Amino acid sequence: MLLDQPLQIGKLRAKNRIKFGSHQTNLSRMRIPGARWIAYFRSRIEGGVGIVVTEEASVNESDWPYERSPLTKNCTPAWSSLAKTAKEHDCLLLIGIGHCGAEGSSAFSQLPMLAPSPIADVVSRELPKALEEYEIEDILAAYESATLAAMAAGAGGIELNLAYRSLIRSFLSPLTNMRSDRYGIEKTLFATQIISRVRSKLGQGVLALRVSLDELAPWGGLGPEELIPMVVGLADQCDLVTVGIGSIFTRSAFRPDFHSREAFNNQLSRRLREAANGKFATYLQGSVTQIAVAESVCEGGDADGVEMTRALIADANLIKKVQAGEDPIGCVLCNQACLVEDVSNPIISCQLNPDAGYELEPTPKGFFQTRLKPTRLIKNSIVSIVGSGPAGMELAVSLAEAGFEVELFEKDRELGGALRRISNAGVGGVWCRSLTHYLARIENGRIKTFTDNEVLPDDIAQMAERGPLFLATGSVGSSCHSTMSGYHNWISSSDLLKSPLPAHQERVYVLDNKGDHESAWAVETAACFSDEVVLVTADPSPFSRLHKTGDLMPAISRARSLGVKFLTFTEMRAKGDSVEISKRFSPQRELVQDHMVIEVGARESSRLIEVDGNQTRQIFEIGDCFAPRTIQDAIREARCYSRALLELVAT
Amino acid sequence: MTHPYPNTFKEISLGPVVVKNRVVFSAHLTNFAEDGLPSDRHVAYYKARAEGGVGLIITEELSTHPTDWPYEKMIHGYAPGVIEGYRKITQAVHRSDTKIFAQINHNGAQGTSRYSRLALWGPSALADPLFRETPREVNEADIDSIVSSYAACAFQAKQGGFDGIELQCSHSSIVRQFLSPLTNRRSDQWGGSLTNRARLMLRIIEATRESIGNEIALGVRLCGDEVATGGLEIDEAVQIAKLAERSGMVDYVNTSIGIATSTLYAIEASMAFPPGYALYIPSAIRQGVDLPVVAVGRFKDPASIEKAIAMGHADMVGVVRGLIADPDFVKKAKSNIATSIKSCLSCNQECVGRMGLNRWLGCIENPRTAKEYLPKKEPVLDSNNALGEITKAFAVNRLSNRSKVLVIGAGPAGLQSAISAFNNGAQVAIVERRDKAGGSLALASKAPYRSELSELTRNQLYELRQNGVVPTFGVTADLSLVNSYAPDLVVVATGSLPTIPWWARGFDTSKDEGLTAVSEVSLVLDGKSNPSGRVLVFDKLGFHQGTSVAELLADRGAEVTIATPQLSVGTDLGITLDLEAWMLRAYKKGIKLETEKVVVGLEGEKITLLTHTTGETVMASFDWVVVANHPLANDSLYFELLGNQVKVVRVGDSLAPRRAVNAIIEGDLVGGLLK
Repeated sequence: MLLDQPLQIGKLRAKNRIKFGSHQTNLSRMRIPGARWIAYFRSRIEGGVGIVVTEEASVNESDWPYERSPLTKNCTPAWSSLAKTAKEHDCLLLIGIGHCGAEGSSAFSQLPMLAPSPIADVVSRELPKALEEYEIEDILAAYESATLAAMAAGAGGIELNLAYRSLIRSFLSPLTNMRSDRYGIEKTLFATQIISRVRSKLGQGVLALRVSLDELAPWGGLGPEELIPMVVGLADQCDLVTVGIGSIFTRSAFRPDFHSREAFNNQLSRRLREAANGKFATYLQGSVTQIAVAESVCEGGDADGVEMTRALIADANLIKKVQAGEDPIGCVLCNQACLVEDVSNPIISCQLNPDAGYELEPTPKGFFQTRLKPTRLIKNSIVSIVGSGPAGMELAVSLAEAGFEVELFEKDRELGGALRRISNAGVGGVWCRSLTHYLARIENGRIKTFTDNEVLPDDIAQMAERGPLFLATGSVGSSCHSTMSGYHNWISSSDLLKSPLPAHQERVYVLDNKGDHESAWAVETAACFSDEVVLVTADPSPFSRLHKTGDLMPAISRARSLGVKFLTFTEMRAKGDSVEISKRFSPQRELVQDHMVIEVGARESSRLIEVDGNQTRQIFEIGDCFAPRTIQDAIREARCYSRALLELVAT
Repeated sequence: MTHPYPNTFKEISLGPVVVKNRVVFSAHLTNFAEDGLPSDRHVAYYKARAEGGVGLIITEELSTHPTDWPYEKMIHGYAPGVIEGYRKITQAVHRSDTKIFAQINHNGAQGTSRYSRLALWGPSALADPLFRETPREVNEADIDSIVSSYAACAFQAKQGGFDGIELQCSHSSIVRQFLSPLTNRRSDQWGGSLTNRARLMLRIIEATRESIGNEIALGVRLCGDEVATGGLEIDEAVQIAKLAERSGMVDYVNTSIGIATSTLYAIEASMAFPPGYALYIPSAIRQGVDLPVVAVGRFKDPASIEKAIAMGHADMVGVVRGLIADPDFVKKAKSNIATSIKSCLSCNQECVGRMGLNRWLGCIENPRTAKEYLPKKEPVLDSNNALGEITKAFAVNRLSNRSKVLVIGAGPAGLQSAISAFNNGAQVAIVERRDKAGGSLALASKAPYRSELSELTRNQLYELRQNGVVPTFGVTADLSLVNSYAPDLVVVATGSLPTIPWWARGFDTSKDEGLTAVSEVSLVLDGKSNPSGRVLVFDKLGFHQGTSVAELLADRGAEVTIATPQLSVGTDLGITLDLEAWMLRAYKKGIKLETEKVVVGLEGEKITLLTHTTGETVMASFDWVVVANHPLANDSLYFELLGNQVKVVRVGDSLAPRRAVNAIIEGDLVGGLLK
């Protein structure tokens, strides 16, 4: 494979063509990257990646874009530790440094944000202070000293961000640079100064740039025609350029979810690579998650290398596994756990790999304080698992691969449970990859599967005699706790996963208590069989939680273009045969009759038996059967139990 | 002369604990915890209020159980390491003869598994409307675990030196979730009748009392009204209080209103609600029980506290935001200098607002709030080397503290600069172009339901006047005026100027036939234009500017539409809990709401609006368009002075137009330039 071939990057060498790109992790504390941060990056280095770029550190205190953002002057110990690991594994370690300018935050520094011109960011709507010359000099000096610190720590080089939340980008673009001084007349001046100041302190090290080749703002921003020559000019002293797209109006375009195709930037990166003419290595960034795609990008000449950040979050050992012919955990591009730009400081993780970001503490504190813990294993125990959804499959494969004898029972004709249903329906990600992954591991493991085999409550006692019994029977759509309880034409969004879809409707109401990917999907699905779709939400705006995956504005545009009507600040409740629709802050009331109501996310656990706290009975509930939540919860619980059983064997 | 607040300063016994006055610093979140432990910020913060004379402090909630971790910076009251931090807090508070209770709680389904990575627990598998995560319906074993967790958590608190325990059974608690038929759908012994629904509360009371013994107090905080259809209302709340009293183990009842995750606007009401709006709750409960009852709800001055007690509505009164703004509130009331209290505006921007955003607590008018742990003279930024940065940002070196400081502009930034400079020994003069102080804040406070904003200026002027500093009004500063003062430092606080949008020719003072007139929010508030007829308020800011002016013009009889590029009108009003009441008033006043809109052209009386999510444009006809857009920093004087011999810094909107809190913080930093 070309991907496996080394690549010369400046005066150094990457052992293969795969790069782990810079991204927010929220693993630092008090702006100091500590043990958790190191462990996260270290595991990717150990996994065999050619280039690892660390989370961008602010070059100085005038930038504090998110609470847990690393600050350069606190980074030396962490950088040194990673540099040591990188040397051991022949990994090219690049240190991400930067300044977010007006795309940062003033909430933590309580100082004004700094930018070329006083233009407010579209999301924060906060005006920055226009930089004065002395401040520009301070920032240039800070870039220089950050470079010195990184090189002293033993890094292979520096990556400068000229794209995503970047002060440098804001100088380049006429959208954000309206200065009348030399920095406004020559918009590349600031970037050029930084690049040469950084280069001067790099020695033999690599200088990499991350760029956007399209600001996606044709009315005033830069497009590829301007940006490609600009980048080629700027990259004169650089060794590697990573290509992305997007700008202040389209930050989600940098790392879009599954609605964008894999390697969507390949034409742009190809154009840059041709223009570069071998002066620097061109790397493609953007939703590449499959090795085959990465290989064809390199093979076909679209880029010299590929960033596979999300794929490596999902599976730190991606490369090792591919080399060994094993099936890695495949990223499904759901963006549900790896995008952590949220005020609540979520830790970077993965819906399919809950251990990501928790390398030092995969089992949550207190887990077995609140859950039954397996306490004994009889000789020749057989582990029985009822239900082959994500929880059941994860537990089955992880135990089987550790040498347990496992029997997996499924009432349907095929394995997969909810994962099969959502992968067929396409709810918020390319979930079929995950299904295929589990099915392959089940096939390869020594797992006895029993499909079309419904376990009845009476069978439970006997199964539990043979060893630990896990109930992973999932959840079903239910209106038992809903305001719509008792309404005759009610279905849950879970019911939309069943085929066939409901018959043609004139009008459907989607009652949205979630505001997430499932809501957007339910609305779009409803539009397939209904002439009119009305989304009802108590929130001030539709899909209020979708900003977390970057799909908020695209989802609203899709819904608007399907003609979906939004009723915000609105509640619904069943009134006998009718539905009362009421505006939250007005006396407006409307009664409608007979229309179908789809309630998003209304589920209850499917329970075979009531599991009590009796420790001597080795029966455990996992996943939605314990409480209806996400696939990540299901997988995490399965892993916690599998680790607990392994510990039992070990002792 | 008799004291004006005699009832407020009578002592009261809460079970075994004697409290020296009737003012309670009730429980509230601070986001000061670090890794689940109390921090030095907590110690300094509570200590300052104790030194300010408050009778009783009740801490923020301490979590009883690992399944309860609803927000990142919470104190894990169940963790073994907390006691040392407790002791630091209680010792600091006790030094001022103030009593301190620990509030303990499990938030149940009103939480997230994000931090704990454990399933939520709740009475029924019903997702909370804010957190939207379906909890595990707890079984008997889980309930036992909850009950014993309260007992253990309370025991740790007692070891930590607290004088009492308060059980949060109110706005965000698994106990209220059991009490309320809204969230308790069980059919076993824990659900159904009030007796069943109250069983968990009584079990917890019993277990906690047994664990803490009789030397310290035990109270319950009850929700008097969930403000939700089908939820708890006052009659049932009185019954619940009686059940608690009948246990014989409870020493007092605290009250609250609303549900933290669905009707928060009722709990921490903004200035749009009248002070004392929740007083009916303690009043009704007090008639039902003999226990002392605590009132809460926007008590912001000593007189209203005195009145609530004197009239028998309550035995004690909780003042939270009032003491966040002014830690010495009680001391000043006691010394009968209530006019010197830095009164809370109930603007909710830095206290409530920052809590919802996972940031540490603050106060719009008190830059020292939550920074009590820093040395008094140092700037209050959390940036690691804030002082160096700031000194650079202000482009000057530190000056002698005998300096003459000239402040130009008597808005919030200018007045705060004057205060901090004076407090650091400077000789201060203030000049103001207009005939009154307050700057853009004075304009903002002219809008309906926003008048309390002006108290910020009143408080600043009062503090300055006490020190003999009075602004000179009606003076426009220029270089020669500055030179005539011969200052060592000039502070430019000249605010901002309205920006003309690209599609407009300029701002109009009146409407011409056949042409849509254009104005801007500050011009309307300043009376420079008086839009009438069909008015479009185009709001790019999403804060109070647009919604306030829309409401003002609707009150004056205009037919108002408010349009915004955002996905909802008044996006940031949600953070200050003003959105709900504004929506209600907007409906009554006939204000039309449009979202996802951008103005892309104006010709004659036709304005073109683009819906940016679909690309569609529509033409609409209006008599007036009033824009709420980003102003420009009024920095010309600053740059003029910069080239001269005088040392000059700028603060607030003249640096970058932002919110009042930025003006106050930067003003406060000016003092740090003097040594």
